[in-house]
Amino acid sequence: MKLSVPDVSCRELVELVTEYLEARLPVEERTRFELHLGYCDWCRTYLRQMRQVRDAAEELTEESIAPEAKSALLAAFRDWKRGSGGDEP
Amino acid sequence: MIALKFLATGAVAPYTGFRWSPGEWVTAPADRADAWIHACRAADLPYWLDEELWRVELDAPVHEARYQIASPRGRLLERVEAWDGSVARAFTNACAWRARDVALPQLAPALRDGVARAASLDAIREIDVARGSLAGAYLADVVKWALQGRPAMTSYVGAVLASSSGGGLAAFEAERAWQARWLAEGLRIE
Repeated sequence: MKLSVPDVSCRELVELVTEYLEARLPVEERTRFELHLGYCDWCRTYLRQMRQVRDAAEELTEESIAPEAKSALLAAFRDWKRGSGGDEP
Repeated sequence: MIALKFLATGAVAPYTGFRWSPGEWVTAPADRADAWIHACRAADLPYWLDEELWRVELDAPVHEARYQIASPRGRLLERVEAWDGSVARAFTNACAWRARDVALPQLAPALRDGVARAASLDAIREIDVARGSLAGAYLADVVKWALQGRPAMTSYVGAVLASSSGGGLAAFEAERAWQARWLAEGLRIE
């Protein structure tokens, strides 16, 4: 049964969170997003965590990443691209 | 225009974390309607429940939407002190008992007498009301949140319960309208 409620679901909120944080949601979509936050503690926590991640990421520069961490990240992305059928050898 | 606004403890906007200073005007870009200052009419209150309720003054233009109003400029005037723990508890309990009445005809027949006779929410919790019907599952949820003293969750699930019996969004909004009337009377606001 599809519920008739005015707000987004938790799943939709997760999909929209980046646009919300970047203020790219249309006004009506933003209202549906915030109506959900009005009662959902889990999504409020998720939004807070995503905001913290975004704020931390904004402070990162290439130079601020330790060489070992940078190597590990590059390796992970290479493996991920191979696994997803990317066009690299 | 004078309107209402729910905030988290300490006059903090619950989603953005913006801390309001009572009396100080806050201005948003006029061409960014998504960033305007949001507030409630009395009819909108159940949708935005939070720890503190404030009266706010909004400058023109005020955009009236379905569940809220918005303006590029606003300031907090005063706390609505009537919205305190005891009124929040009374509202939460009123929503829970109303949910019991809405759910009752839809519960599994074997459960109805016990739920109808229950004299407390604890007594309903002792019954496995979720068994056998969607309405029962929602009622169990409502009772759980009410016993935890959670007005926003209790009233939301109560409205979902109302909508689930076939009335859809209209029934959801009708339940929210009942909740808004309860709050307006309980808080003595118009």
